[in-house]
Amino acid sequence: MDQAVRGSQFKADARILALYPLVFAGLCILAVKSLGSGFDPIILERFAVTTLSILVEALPFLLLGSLVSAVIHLYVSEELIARLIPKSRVIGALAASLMGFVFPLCECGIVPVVRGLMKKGAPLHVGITFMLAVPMVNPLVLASTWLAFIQFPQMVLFRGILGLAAAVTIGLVLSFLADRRLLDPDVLLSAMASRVLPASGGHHHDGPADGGPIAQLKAILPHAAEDFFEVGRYFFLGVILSSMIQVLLPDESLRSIGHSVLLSVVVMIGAAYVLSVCSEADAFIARAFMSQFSTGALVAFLIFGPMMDLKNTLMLSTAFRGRFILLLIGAVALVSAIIGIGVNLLPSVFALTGVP
Amino acid sequence: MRRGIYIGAITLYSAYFGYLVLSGRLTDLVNPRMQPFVIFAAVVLALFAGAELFLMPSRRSRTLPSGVALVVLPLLLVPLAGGNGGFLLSSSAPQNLPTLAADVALSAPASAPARTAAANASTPDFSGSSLTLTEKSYFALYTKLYARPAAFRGDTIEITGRIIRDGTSTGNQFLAAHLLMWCCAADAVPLGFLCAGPLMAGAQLDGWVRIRGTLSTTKWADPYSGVRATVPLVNVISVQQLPSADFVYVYP
Repeated sequence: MDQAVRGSQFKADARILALYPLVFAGLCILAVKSLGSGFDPIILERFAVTTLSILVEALPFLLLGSLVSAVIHLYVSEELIARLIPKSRVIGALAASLMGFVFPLCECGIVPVVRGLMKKGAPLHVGITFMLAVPMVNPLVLASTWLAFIQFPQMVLFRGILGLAAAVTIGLVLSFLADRRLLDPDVLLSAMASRVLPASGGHHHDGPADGGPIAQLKAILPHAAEDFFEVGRYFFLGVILSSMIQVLLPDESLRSIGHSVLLSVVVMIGAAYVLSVCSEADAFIARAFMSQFSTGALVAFLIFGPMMDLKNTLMLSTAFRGRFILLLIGAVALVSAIIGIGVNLLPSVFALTGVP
Repeated sequence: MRRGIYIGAITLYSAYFGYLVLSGRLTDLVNPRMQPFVIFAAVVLALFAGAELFLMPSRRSRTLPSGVALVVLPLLLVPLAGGNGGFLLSSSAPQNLPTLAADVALSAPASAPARTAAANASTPDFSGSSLTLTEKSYFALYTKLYARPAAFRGDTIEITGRIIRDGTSTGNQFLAAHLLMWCCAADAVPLGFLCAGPLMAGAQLDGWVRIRGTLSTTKWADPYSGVRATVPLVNVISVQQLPSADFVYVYP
């Protein structure tokens, strides 16, 4: 078991280290642009300000998510979640899609929970819908979306309603196309151990602590702190890459792409995948792109990102077979693109009207 | 070693967030409404550092997973951020797209309050037919002016802003703009008024000026969406160069 944990840890570390050259290359490009015609500190300053501002704005939500995740981990059993889900396929998928209001987990913490549900006999459509919907349609994510788009509250509705529809559709369709053989229980087991408490030897079956508030806090903090680092390293990577893209991409070409009905959606889906920003903070990233991209592209970004991204794929790859992951990525991308293009083609229905 | 660096990093983040709040420089990076969340983050990060140090002995026998460098990197950028939450380089607000402010105005509600209501509002400073835009009143008054530009025709206005020209500026037109920060500095966009008139000798692009003028209206077309709208136009009477901005950002 310990070997499996270490092996999985090694793989996760290798994946992170493999992305270091990308960051280094971006920093080199920034340095070269700054030194291009004498030393121009403005480019570096823009990069610094963009990075820090996104960080200061989004980090509180990531911390909140880590605390909530730790509380759920300690105080809510997977058996209880499984008991609450109906067995009927459609009702089960619909119920699973709304579980985010009870268990507001982000996509970073959802994989271990889904694995637990599957292990306890929850059907595939419930597991998939739960995994796709909960990180997107939960109070924390909707609140951060509202805060980011406070002048455009319609975005909360677009994300909530269209996101739910997307998750339920994908969950139901994939449950017909795929079966449980696409899940690898052995890999799931080692993945669970590696994702939940990788640095503490996989003792992931803690219960609530006895004692007063201080004892409870002492029980919650280590879990939250570990969760924060596990998720945070991907978050910091996303913020840094996002800032680089914002500073390095030529504004005009971005705007000309950003307002294309089709291309803007495709580009933002690609951005959501690569940036891998936590769903509790991605609305702020989308808001930063608002002047450059179409509404449909932003909606596609906000729907696709929580369901599937590079970071999530890395996590899924430790729990599911490759064929299933490819099928899932394709389905999520297709549905998100259809929604994004639909929003762009129906501006009268999906207009973002400011409310100063 | 890595564990020590990580604990040091999150402690420094906690201290940096506290510094931003206490020094008032938080508003150079994020909208003021984020302050309670940033205080929360400073406290939780300090608790996490304490937890790593005292409550997680198993960490001591193992190194942390990779990724500490990613956590540390943004801290190294703090000195480069200039006046925007940093320490070293001179203050220079980030320049985003030269988007004409009407991007925002076009989405303002059509049923904006009439001038009488605006004159009774507490934030905008109305003195007879003269309007002065301050940091606090800027967005409110801006919205009213763009919602009903004809209602203010002939009034005298005094604004400050950075001189910007973009594809929509023609002839002797330019934009005197501040940066509108919705959430954070990364999403800031220029927000200002279209001005027409000769700039004083020496007034440079990107320089800060105080402009006094009279209001009229003009037609303006968004270069990307093609949407046309009637927007206020400041006919310049006088221009005063400013060594630095009284305020860079305005907030909704």
